[in-house]
Amino acid sequence: MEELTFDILVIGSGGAGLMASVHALAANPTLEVGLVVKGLIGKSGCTRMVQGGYNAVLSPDDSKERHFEDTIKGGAYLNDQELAWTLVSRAPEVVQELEVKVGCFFDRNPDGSIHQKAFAGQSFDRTVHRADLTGIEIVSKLRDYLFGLPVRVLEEQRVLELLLGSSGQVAGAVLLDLRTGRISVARAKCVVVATGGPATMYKLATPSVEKSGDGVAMAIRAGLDCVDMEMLQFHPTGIIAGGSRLTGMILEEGLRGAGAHLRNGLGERFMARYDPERMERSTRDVVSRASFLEIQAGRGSPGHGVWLDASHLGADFVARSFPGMVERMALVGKDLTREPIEVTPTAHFHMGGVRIDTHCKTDISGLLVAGEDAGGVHGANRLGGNGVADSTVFGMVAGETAAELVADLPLADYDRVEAEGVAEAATRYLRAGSSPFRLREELNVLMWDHVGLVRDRGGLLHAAAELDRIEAELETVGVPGGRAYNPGWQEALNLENLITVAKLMVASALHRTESRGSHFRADYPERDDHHWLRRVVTRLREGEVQVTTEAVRFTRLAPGQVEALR
Amino acid sequence: MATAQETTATRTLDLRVWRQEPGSEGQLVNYSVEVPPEGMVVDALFAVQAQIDPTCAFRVSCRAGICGSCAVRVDGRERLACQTPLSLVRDRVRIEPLRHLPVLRDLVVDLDPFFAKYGAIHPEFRPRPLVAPARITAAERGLVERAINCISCGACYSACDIVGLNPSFLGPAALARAWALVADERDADADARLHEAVGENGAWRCHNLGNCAVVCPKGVAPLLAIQALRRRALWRS
Ligand SMILES: Cc1cc2nc3c(=O)[nH]c(=O)nc-3n(C[C@H](O)[C@H](O)[C@H](O)COP(=O)(O)OP(=O)(O)OC[C@H]3O[C@@H](n4cnc5c(N)ncnc54)[C@H](O)[C@@H]3O)c2cc1C
Ligand code: SF4
Ligand code: FES
Repeated sequence: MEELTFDILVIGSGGAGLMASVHALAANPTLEVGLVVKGLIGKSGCTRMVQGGYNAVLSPDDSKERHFEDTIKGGAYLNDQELAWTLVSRAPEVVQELEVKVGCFFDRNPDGSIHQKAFAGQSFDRTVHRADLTGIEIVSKLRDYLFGLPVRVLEEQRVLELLLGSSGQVAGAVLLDLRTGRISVARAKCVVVATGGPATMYKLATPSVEKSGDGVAMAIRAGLDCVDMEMLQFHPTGIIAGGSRLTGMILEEGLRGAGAHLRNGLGERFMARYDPERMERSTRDVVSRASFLEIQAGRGSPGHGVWLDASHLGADFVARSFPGMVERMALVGKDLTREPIEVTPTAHFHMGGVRIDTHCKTDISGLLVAGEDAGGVHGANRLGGNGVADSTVFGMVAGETAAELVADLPLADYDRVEAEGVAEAATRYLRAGSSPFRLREELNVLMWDHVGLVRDRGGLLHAAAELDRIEAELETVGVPGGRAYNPGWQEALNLENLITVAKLMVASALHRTESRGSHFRADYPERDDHHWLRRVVTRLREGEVQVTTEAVRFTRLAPGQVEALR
Repeated sequence: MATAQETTATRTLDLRVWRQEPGSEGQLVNYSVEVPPEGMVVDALFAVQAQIDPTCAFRVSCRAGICGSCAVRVDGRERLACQTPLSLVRDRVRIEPLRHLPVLRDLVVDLDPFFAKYGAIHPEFRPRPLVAPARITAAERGLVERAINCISCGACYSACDIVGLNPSFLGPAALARAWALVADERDADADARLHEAVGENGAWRCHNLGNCAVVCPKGVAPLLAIQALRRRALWRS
């Protein structure tokens, strides 16, 4: 097998992967950095799709403590508080860097200073943005910035598996070139995993379509612990566009922040029943579940959704503040500035992921994880605007850690037989067989129906059994048609990873016998602080999922303290 | 639970899709697929993949007009497949890859030549020494606003006949990016960039055909940027 060698191999070109590359080289410009991306660099992943914006404390009237309190309250006290503190304390410096060094240009106040808008679940208007399509600005400028750096980009190549050395340290990864179907090995002293989350395993979902939880799946197979895997966020305002793939894409949170109303099929502002104080500006977990319950109770809109109405905010204001959203709705024949729009909850972001420390280190020496692949930062629910902050802050941290680590780490040897085995396993799908797309549809429906907004023991047990069946059926899948750019083949490989991650999600969800944040059990509908200020830890051993729990450490704020402050 | 994606009605669409194996000649192949009436062109391609041939290759990532991965030619016109409603296309529609770029497979083109030219104008920001974000009013920013919206989809590159005639012409997108930086008061290297952008293969090669502005899905109007570069160069010399 062909071999490439790097000091640092970064996997993924979202906010986390790009920032890791930039900061590894900022720390030491002589490092050899490889950046491998499943899609096109800067064009794949969810960071580019960020709409509403970026939470960072910039105003003297705001404070990092407040941002921290909002984040912990939003996360229902499940967050790893040191990770959350890293997020809020370093976000301002990243925004500064993006503007001053990378050349982003965020929206301004009339006096020329950076404008910050209102987002749900926050006690201060702290969301930095460029209109309503902020991610394009951040990712395309970071991508442009890379043109000036000596990063070796491996585009449209997917990492199939991580490789470990004989003493368990990271040794590199096995790569599959989508364009040619060639499989190779990239050796590195340090590997940064930043492939984004697995929310695409749900029938309605927001993320970019190539994402399939690859990073988390590979980390699981490498033996790492995952935390909070049951915590999958649904965004409340997904578009309904019938059978189009646009269905499930979102209308951004800033609309609710700016005062848009949600109504059920009877015309009631139903949030009054679920969170009378914050109403539509409540956190995503609450609003999504409220909408779901309204729909389930038969009080939905004709298209199985609820109504989002921004028309009373004034057509001019909506057109000026949300041009991207207005354009998107126009595409499906709707006028966001003047009429209510049907929306549905849609799978959005995985709070769970690989356990890391504040340096992005894992239990495997030399293996770092950053961004959505990592767990713990957001607890049971992520605040809007904390996602891109997460990926860029922890991407930066991972880059810094990587640069430091490789000074002392040797290049580990890998097992060639193992690498060959990975290649053989991946190419076995190049045979006659059934279509992977049908099986994918089954997985997505299963997860939506039984591991979605409302869960119970029966449904979760059913899901666990069905996952085994789907996994077994994967062995009948075949995609003849050659290696080069074969989408069916990629889909089969995506399925493998999604199933791996889904199993841990189901096991975690079964284990948490309470409701908290995004995780709602119909059979345990109450939050139970007495038993469950604990996080669920999952791992794979000999093909079996192991589940344990550990107490959350309240290193900065104890439960109830935020509420007591306000 | 029933979800939003369940549709009852579908529409039968006759597609003619460019299929091309690596290293061989391509051809248009007919497919008849059931598509959701609210769908986009990309939904029709997904339908081919799911209903007929899982190897039918096309690029897609965000499916929402954000990433610029999915540009193809629909009945000869460059468009984002994910942003072109099927309600606007005829019952018999032709889908082909972008022009002026090598086909990797089917609708997937090799964008390397496009990005090589984009890289040639040094798209990376070179900041003036600033310690804090510059205070800039929206009005001062007007000059760059349009050009900055580019999502590097390559539609303009395909639509530009000059790119076809003169393969070394930098093309509309690269020049629009050059303008965005030349006009950015925070950038330290405006003169050097301007020099590159109006150099041998730059702005003066453009014949003002304007196809770039017609096809651009983001209203970038590269032609205006090219004209602005020329004007700036003229007054500087
Ligand atoms: C529609 C939408 C809107 C959002 N809006 C906001 C918002 O307003 N504010 C906010 O804070 N957050 C928002 N988010 C969330 C935010 O995008 C994420 O939290 C975060 O940016 C994820 O960054 P990442 O770098 O971890 O992953 P991503 O940005 O998803 O990047 C993953 C990268 O990994 C690559 N990859 C995947 N698998 C492999 C593999 N096997 N091999 C190689 N490469 C691989 C992908 O191609 C991609 O380049 C939004 C998300 C979506 C989907
Ligand atoms: S200028 Fe417009 S058409 Fe050209 S690459 Fe940019 S977005 Fe696409
Ligand atoms: S898929 Fe991203 S623009 Fe069409």
